[in-house]
Amino acid sequence: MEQVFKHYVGVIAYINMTGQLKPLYIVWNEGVKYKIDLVYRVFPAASQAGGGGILYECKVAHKRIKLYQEKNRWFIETSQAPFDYWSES
Amino acid sequence: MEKWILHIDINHCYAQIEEMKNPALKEIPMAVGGRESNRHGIILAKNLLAKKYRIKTGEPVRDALKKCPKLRIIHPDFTDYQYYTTKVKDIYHEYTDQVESYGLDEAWLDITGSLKLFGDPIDIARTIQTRIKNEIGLTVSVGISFNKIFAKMGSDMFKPYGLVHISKENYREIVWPLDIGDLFYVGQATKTKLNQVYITKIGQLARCSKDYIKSLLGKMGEVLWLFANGFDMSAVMLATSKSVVKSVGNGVTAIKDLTTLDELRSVLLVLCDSVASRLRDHQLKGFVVTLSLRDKQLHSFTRQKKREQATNLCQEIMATIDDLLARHRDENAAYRSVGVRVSDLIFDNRQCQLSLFEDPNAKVDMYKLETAIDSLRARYGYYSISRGLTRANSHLTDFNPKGDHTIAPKGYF
Repeated sequence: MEQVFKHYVGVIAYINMTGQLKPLYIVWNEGVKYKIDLVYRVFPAASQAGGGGILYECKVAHKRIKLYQEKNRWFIETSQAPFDYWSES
Repeated sequence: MEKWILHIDINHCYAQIEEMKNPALKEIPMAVGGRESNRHGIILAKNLLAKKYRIKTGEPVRDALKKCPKLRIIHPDFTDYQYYTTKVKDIYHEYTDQVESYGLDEAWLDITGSLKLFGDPIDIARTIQTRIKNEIGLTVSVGISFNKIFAKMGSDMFKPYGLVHISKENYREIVWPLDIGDLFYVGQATKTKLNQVYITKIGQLARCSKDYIKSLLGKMGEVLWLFANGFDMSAVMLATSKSVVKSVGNGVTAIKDLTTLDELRSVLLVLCDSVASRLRDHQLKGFVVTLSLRDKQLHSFTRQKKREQATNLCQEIMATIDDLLARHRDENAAYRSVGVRVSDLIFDNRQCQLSLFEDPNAKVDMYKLETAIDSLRARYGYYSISRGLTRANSHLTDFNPKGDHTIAPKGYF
């Protein structure tokens, strides 16, 4: 099984009159915005990378990604290891 | 009609939640334990790798590190544990309204009424198990039976991720060959007593006559005999029924041993403050004040006193505590942990029998003062106001017993 990592992201979302939430953009490292083209489905799930919450399966730049709402934060699963400041410096 | 009761247990709960948050911890021996510096240094939970080093729940962190020097100690985060266990219980509530929690990690579910909606009870148990695995990432063991006791024993049988069905047909084969110590509410003392009369298995206890066991162990013996025979008929409580408060208490292990009366009193005052405030929150007041002390050698004792009038005021509770201290404190002893409890509770309807020898107005003033402190704390935080006496030993009294999270152990009865 491919190892996945957790990367916390910012999210711009639209909340409609009934309180339904729809994520529109993912903000990577407080910088670049990526448009979410489509939300396939929404359901509670645990992440392989640890933690979990409500999973939004989204289409971003023709790729299927897993966007999780964990308590009050959002993260996505990536195959890219986070940069380890302690061991690489 | 036969009941269908599930007992669901989150396997090594705290450790598993930490593993779920950070999967890398699954690869190393890990345990959740308190901070040594605050002297809360005991192991609360451990993972499967740590279990191989024979690390036990409840032993000091220092001893555990001796057994396994590379053991990783994680400090507990109770808000997270409460968050995830509530999520798990939300799933239970989708299947029945009869969910009785037993601590954070265990619960009984009565699904007798839900069978028409959800089908076969064993399927329901499997669904709950897989849903918790997929949605929250935790594994649970389930015991299914016709009473609460056998359900609990079923969930204890295979860990992790077990599912055991104990029915009226097979309980003799499954439960009776088990060691007597595995029966609910049989502790070390009862086990020794039963072993003395050559009862080592649950089946042997069940086949004894009820009167014999009663003569041996008293009232509890009868209860145990009923447990062993599967005659326990207690109902799973409704989720909406709130448990009735029987006593309100707080205790603390101080960061250093308390040797002088001053130190002891200032710590006790903080506890009285919290107990009184919690009583007022519940609109209760109590007659009996109990003081519990534990010294350096871990010998503990409790002393209680009944007051003339019920109270929920810090100063009045403290006065009774002072009384108890004067009578029962050993002046040479160093106390490690202390506790205050108020019981024999009645509803506080703000009316009371006036005493001839007390000034009723002073009591009203005291009540006003203490509720003012409560509202100040609610608005500006706990540390915004404190009693003068506690400032003298501020290193001992810098804790908030009301707000800091504590999980009280719960009894079955």
